[in-house]
Amino acid sequence: MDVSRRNFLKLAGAVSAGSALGGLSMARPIHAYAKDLPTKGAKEVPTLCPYCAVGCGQIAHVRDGKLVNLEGDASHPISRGRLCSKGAATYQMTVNDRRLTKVLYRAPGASEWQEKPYDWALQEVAKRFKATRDATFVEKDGGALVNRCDGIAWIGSACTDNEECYLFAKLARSAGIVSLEHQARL
Amino acid sequence: MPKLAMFVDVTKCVGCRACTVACKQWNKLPMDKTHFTGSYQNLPDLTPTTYRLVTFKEEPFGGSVSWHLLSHSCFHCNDAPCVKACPVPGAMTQSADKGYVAVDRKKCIGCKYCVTACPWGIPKYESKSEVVAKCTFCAERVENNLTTACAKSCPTGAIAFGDRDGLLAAAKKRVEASKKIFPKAQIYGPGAYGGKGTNVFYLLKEEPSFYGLPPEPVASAALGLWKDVLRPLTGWGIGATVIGALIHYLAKGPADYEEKGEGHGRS
Repeated sequence: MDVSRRNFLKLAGAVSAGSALGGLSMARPIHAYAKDLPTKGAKEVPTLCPYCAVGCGQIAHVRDGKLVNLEGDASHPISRGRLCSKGAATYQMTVNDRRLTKVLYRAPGASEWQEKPYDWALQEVAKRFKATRDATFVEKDGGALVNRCDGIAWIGSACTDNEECYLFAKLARSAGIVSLEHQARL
Repeated sequence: MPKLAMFVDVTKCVGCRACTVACKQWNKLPMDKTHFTGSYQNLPDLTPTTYRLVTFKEEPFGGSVSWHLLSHSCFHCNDAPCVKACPVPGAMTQSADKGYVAVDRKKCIGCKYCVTACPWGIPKYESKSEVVAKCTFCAERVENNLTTACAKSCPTGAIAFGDRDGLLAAAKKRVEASKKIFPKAQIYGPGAYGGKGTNVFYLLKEEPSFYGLPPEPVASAALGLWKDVLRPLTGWGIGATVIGALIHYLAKGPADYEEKGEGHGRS
């Protein structure tokens, strides 16, 4: 394109006039956001805060088996949707790149820790639990029926919710465990 | 649709920081490295990844010690200076019907005009992503008829969320009741900018300056001069020049050039 002085001036005039007219539109820009919630289409699973004895209600938003959000359950009679700073951070208990994905195992008498997968650890715990329970089960004490297991003590985690605690207690009681405690009270 | 607002009643705040955690969790913001400064306060100021912060101030009060807590974030001003200062259409915007102010991080060019325009220094520039970040009023929640994450989480109800007029009326009632214990109790926010006000307002126990807040938040005069006077004036000026040139062309016809070999220069 042959840009003569005259053509250049014409072009410059047109550009500045265009930008000036653009600048004159006084309409305030209105937000243009994606209006969809990040939780759209996620399944709402009511659960309980695992941390303290208040037991505030929580809603876990789950999509494709993955936790996408977790917040207070507004229909919960105790907390009415509210959570404290600890309860509000429950999401990162599940979704956290600092979470341990393997267990450390030190065999009896060994000095070194070994990395083992969770499945192995669960199997091992179950195996030893059954063996110890069978070995130390006391059916009668002085003629009285007691059905207790003296060889095992059970300590629950502080990161388990109400339903999990219920199941743990059931399992421990059914095995005859008397020393059953929860970490939050330690 | 009535304007939405948040009313923060500092007399009800217990400093649990559930609001800040709920904010971080909903917005999926990472933690900020912090260190102990002798106070319960976590960070000295808001950061690009901390939209809400509770400030802690311990002061003697009535023979004892009182904790002055302030859970603060963006004030979501009406006629917000940051929106006015923003040179990019659609980067820093105000919802016309609901009143909140939010930044579109995809459109932001990181010029930091909003950072300097804000009387409270709320927008924070993130050097890593080279854009500005601030409280969004949980825009996607609010647009879907949910409360903001901080207001939902607040265990004492210190952060109330609702329509602006209703909350203003509630605030007026609360300030009268609070004056019996805190004689300097006052509402902060609705009177800003000569009455245009903010959409997030506070019931303070003390003077605003006690909390480090400007008593009379104003947008800079230069900003008003530039955006309200000079910019339209320049626009009209350029438009007038073009129209003038057009009239001149119609009246006098095209310029009479005499070709002199070089192809330029008026005869």
